[in-house]
Amino acid sequence: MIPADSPSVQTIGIKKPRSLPGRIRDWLFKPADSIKRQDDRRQAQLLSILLLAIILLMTSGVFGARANSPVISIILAVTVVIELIAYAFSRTRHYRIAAAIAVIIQILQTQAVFIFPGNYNINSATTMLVWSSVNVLLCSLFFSSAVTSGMAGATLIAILLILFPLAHLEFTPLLVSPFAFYIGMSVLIIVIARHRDDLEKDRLFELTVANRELDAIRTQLEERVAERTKELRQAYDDVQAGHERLLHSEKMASLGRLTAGFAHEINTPLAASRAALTEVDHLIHEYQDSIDNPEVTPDDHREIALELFKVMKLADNSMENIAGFVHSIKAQTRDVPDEELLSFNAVPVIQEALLLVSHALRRGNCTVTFEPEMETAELHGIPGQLAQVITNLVTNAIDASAEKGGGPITLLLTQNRERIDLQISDQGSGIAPEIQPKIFDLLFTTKSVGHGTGLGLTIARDIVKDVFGGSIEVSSQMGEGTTFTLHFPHYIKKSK
Amino acid sequence: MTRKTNTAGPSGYTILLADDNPDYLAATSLLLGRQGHTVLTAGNGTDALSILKNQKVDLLLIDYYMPGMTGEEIVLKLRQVNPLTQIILQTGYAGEQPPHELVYRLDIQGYYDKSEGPEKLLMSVEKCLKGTLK
Repeated sequence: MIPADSPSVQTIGIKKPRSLPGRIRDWLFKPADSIKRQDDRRQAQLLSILLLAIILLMTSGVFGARANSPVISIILAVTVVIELIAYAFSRTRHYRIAAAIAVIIQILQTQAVFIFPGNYNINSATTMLVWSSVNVLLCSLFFSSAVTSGMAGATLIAILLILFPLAHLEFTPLLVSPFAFYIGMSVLIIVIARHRDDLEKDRLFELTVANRELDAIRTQLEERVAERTKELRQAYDDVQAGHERLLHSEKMASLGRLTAGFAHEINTPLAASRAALTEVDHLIHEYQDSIDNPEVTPDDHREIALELFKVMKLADNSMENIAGFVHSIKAQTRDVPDEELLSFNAVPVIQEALLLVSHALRRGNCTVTFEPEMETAELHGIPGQLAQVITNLVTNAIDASAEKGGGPITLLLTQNRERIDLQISDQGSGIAPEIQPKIFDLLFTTKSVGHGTGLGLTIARDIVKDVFGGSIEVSSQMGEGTTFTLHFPHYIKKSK
Repeated sequence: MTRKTNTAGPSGYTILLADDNPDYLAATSLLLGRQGHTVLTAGNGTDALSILKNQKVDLLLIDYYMPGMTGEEIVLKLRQVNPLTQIILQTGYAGEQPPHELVYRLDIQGYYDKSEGPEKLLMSVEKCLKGTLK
């Protein structure tokens, strides 16, 4: 569909005012198809008026001829001119051709009167003029009605056109030729008009059929689109639900890892405290039992008190370890709303995250060294999520190292003018080159069922990218180890 | 100096306690010492193995997760040369490996979850010591 105001439509538009030469060019050469029905009708009205004028001039011409006046030639010349104007106004191609031929014949006829005046008496010349002018009138009406009113009007006028000269009794050789011409022309025009009508009917029918088909197709399409949309929505919802389930299972797996770490970190000092308290219990009983016992000296009591103090200190120390551990967890998971991004120092966050994996480190027989090049590295994001990334990557490093019986894991924090980089390297089993492109894919895992969800690295990448605006890359040598490098942009404070 | 301690008389048993947490070593030594046992301590697997090589130990109480060498590795090494020493594996978190499977696979006599409390530990220790060959 071309928009109504597009330039291509404007150039064809008939309403647009044009210069006179332009209009003349249009009249002469413009193809019929570009002309609207309404313009045809207006043109037919104009032609009728012109032809009425011709009749009037003809009639007066006849009277002038009777008086053998030179006026006749003037009138005939004017008739020809008016016919030429009529021709100019006719825009339909076959009408134009027909009108042109009619005008030529008219001229020839008129000339014949003067070229061969001896062969014609004034009466026959007058008669010729009358019927030829009526012929022109009918012919013109026929053409215009063939164009405007369709078959019925055209047929009627064609019959009159044929009948009129038949009713005329005076046949002369010169009259025969236009007579034959008019009959032939009438038949031709009827055939053309009928064909035109048929074509239009056919086209209308085809258009109606096509329209109906289009309607049906459109309805079908709309239904199909609605159906597909519904299916897509369903699929989207399913994927969304699946994604949430997976995220949940990764969260549960992380929680499991964390719980194991928590349990170990807390249970050992807790057991130490409880053992110490058992000892306290013994000492208190001993103290109570020896009150008023003459054999037990004050020195003994002092010794008991000292032992009590030592054991209490032992229990207290263990409790303090637990408290310290809990504090470090609290620092990691402090109540920051999920979406709230803030600027923070990455160094302590990384240190605290490493505390959380110390249990896993021991289990995998790994050691970790964290070498920050600077005291503060300001990142903009969510501290807890950075810790999650570190935990994830270090856990992976431990798993890879454990396959080789353990090993050192190194975290290197550096910064330059462009960015802050964190490298996490292990000397573990490495990642095969063919699977390196896939490691960040959702659900990709090489770990056995129950040990890997295939989400850890995906989530790590998403956090680095979406929360911190950074990027993550990996380089690995089979059997040599793996290095994950996180690139973080420097945080530029936005002026308010 | 005649303190009325309620320490049991010497049991004649020697227990080796291996753990990387010094507080735990100290407190548990006191706990076991009260029962009249001789308690030796080791802060890591290597020390534990060298003590085991040089001394008669009736019961090895060993932590599962220790730096350098895990309790499991020590047990496997020890069992190659000494099938008789009673062993209790201790852990802060028992959830990861089913105790029964571990006891069977490593040929150990007990599995102690540190969260179970001192009473449970003493009971496991007594049970194991009763099973030792004197």
